[in-house]
Amino acid sequence: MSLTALKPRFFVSLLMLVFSLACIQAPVHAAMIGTDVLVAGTELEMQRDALREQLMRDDVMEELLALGVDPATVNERVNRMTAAEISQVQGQLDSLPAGSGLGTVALVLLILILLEIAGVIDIFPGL
Amino acid sequence: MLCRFPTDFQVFSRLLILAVLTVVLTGCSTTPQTNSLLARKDAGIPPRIELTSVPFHPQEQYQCGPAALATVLEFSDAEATPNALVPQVYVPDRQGSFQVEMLAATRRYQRLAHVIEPTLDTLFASVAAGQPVLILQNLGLNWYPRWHYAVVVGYDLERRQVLLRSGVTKRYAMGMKLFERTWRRADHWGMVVLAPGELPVADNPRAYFLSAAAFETNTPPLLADRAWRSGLERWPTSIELLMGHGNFLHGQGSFDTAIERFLAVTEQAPGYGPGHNNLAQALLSANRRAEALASVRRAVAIGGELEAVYRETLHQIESALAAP
Repeated sequence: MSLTALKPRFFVSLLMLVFSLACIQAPVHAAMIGTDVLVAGTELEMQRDALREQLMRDDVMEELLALGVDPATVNERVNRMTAAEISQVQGQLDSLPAGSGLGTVALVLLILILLEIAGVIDIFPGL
Repeated sequence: MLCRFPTDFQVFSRLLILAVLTVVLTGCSTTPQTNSLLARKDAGIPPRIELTSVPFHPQEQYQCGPAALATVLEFSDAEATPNALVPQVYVPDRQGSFQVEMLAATRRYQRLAHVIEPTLDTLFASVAAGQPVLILQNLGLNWYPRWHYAVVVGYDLERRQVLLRSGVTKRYAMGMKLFERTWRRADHWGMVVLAPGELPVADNPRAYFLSAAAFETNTPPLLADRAWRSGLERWPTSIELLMGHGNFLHGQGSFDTAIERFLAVTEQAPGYGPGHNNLAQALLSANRRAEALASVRRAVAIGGELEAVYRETLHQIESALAAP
């Protein structure tokens, strides 16, 4: 199987893996209680496990890609989140609020329902 | 049936729906914070505030996140535009922006992203202190959420209004109770954008520590240092801020100042192991091995869930002492 036969999606994943492995840094002072540990409070083990954090980062990246985020920017967007933020949103993006404002369709529908209830219009038979 | 006239059944079902809706809308929509704030004779904040100089960016379709974020960043003198923010915070398939990315994108502009306390008091006090607050609202209902970002730029206690830059409306005066309901459905989430050195209004060093710690990574050291120092000026005895600044200074190679910070921690909290451990590490870095050994022994004696780390430090110091 030649490289060109591979799907673009796979390439993206591969690229992300390479990038993310490059981002793992060994702590300079292994026995220093770092600020990230203080942030995490008691979740010490989780925070000390750099590899696990990286896996969570990859998860969030995959989730964002699946939601249509541009592969060119997703790496930067995920890397800007802190370890604590990553662990808060990992696996949750589908259910988290995404502020967008009132879409026109929703607004129209809402007005129609209110008008219907107020007895002004009657486009929903049976109501 | 081509022509329909209201039957008894239809009239009844309308009334029923109206009643159910009333219960749904009002039953879970009390406004305790507004009531408490308005009931107080002296709320401790000016009765009326409006930050008229906050810019306005009308939102494009679904893109209230980039628009609201550009508004607060620009007010903080950061060069940000809604268009530049779209590729950083907009999520196409959700047609919206996540809170966590609003925070992360703020830091990219070398500003602290600080989540405020979930109270109307802090919200209004922030605005009164000249810090517009970017808030999340659920304009719909819990079971039919319509998430929306807007920027609170003022309030009027007498008229019971909250003033917003919202959507395509430059100055939206929203009833305080309605505002509280929509804000509460979004867990009272709000953030301020702080230039390094600027502080949030609430007396909560822990909350500021979290914002400063997140700010520190991927930030020029000078700015991170400024953020830590201003926090310590206001809360000089905060263990977390002292530890955070100590760690930062140690990472920068400023061992002597780091030692000062960790010493202050051990004075404030003699029974706090991490203080002694990090003091030992900083002393070791400064080549003061004998003092380092004494410090780490205190940490080991305190023990606790981090004891393994203290023993590792002890081991490092003993190895250093054994070396010629």
